[in-house]
Amino acid sequence: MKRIGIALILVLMMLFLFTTLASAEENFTIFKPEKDSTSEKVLPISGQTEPDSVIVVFLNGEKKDEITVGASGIFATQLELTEGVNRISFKVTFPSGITKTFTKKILLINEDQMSTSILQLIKAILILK
Amino acid sequence: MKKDGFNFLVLLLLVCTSLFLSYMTWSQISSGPVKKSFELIENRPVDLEEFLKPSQVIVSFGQNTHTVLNQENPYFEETWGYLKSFTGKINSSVSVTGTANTDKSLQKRGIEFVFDSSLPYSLLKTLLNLNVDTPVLKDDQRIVSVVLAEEDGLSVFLKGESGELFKIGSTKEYGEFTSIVTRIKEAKTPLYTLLPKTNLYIKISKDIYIPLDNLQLPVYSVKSAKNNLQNIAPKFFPDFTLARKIEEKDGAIIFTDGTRGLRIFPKGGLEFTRPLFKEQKTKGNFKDSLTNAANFIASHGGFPKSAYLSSYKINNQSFTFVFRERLNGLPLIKSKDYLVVTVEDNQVTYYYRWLKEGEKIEERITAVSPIKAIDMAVGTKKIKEIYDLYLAYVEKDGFYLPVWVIKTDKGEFYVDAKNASEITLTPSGDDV
Repeated sequence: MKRIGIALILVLMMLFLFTTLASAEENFTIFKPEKDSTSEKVLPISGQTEPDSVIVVFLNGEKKDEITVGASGIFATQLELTEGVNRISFKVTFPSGITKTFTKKILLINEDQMSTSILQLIKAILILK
Repeated sequence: MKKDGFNFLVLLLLVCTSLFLSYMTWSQISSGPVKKSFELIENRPVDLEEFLKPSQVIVSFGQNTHTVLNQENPYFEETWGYLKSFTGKINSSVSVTGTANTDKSLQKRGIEFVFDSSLPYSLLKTLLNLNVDTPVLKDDQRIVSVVLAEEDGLSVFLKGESGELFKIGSTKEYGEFTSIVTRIKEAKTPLYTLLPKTNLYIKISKDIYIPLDNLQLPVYSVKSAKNNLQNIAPKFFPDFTLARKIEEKDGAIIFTDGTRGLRIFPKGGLEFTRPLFKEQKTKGNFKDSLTNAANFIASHGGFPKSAYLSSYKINNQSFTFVFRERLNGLPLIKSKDYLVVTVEDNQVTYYYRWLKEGEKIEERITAVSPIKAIDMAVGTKKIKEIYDLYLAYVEKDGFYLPVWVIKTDKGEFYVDAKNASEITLTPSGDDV
């Protein structure tokens, strides 16, 4: 019984160690954009990941850029969005060989349409009154 | 007859091509940007604004999108002119609004005017025609930039060295501001983004904007400096007939009258010293000393039109001003400071100049991303923190080369904008 307990603790410790190591080697952070919506058609993107990773950037399923990350781990690019919801995917191949895909959805709002719809909303409220 | 006609046409075509190519070369050298950068102001006083204008204008379109204008950009003068017309009308009181909150302000439209070196508030008042006197802002308060931001209508802030903001005025009528920002955006100027202030591998200690597009920059060859400085030697002495001339083995010529000394180096450099006796010394004020320094340069060799105040030191009783030239709107860096003036008691006591001109454009390069430059510095220099990052020109082996300048915890590095390799500046000629 005692042996089983020790073995279980060892297995748990190994699992914890492997999980920590794996996550340490697969950092990927997007700094910009922070918000999920924008009215800017050209969107700057920046972030940080593991040095020597390769990032393939897709916009709505179409490949837009391929970045080999250098020693600083910093990367930056820009994408031209289409109106409505834009699905931005980052297919990252880490130096460990592991490939992961990270996705962010950004809504491109047309400012003119937004102000028109706000006006319509105000009108609707006034009519209701 | 037909054959003669054909030959004539070919000849005509060749002559026209030759004339066109000659014109292109001539226009680059004699009246193009190369020549313009090195023109001198010689026979008139230099206006403070000519060398104290901001080096960069950061335009925020809102929602984290920006562009950066340097002095060569056609919108630079318009934005600067708008700021001055705005600040010239301000009479209200000053309030401290805390430190700059970049994340918050990036979401709004705004324009930030960044100076090459932080300027004392007393000098900024002159530059911006400000009539604001307040105990909140002392005359020696150093200001790094002026910010116009959409807050309480449109507000103008002065940003101090530690990021503290001083609100000096606001207006509810700012249609012109909106129009300028919109036009700059529609002109599709290169998009910039803020370098992430991350601390996973490297720390970025200030707001640094990097271009997302690959910028095109020319490489210039450097013209050999003409040494005709002996002609101006009499200007350094009240009575030149009393000055002795000494020729040194290396070709340098020294003039001295016992109290003043002038050394003219063989390759176009010049150094002048005029020590003051201790009992003579009293401290002048910053603005007058700076004006004296600029006018002294203008009357003793000429003040380059592209020159700007790069840095300054204030000692007990003296001010030392370091000027640099700009090329293509970017700072021109050499292995040592090449235009330096020390002023004590409103008199120039030290002057060093070593100026050369760019000759012609040798090639145009596509600058590597600044992130590649950072990668080089992280990979080979093991840097941990970046204090500043900007594009500049350096003089190297007879060329003016575009570089990324990286100021870090391990020192300042120059990264070739063509191929991201490190460039080491070695003294040459008179700057040894």
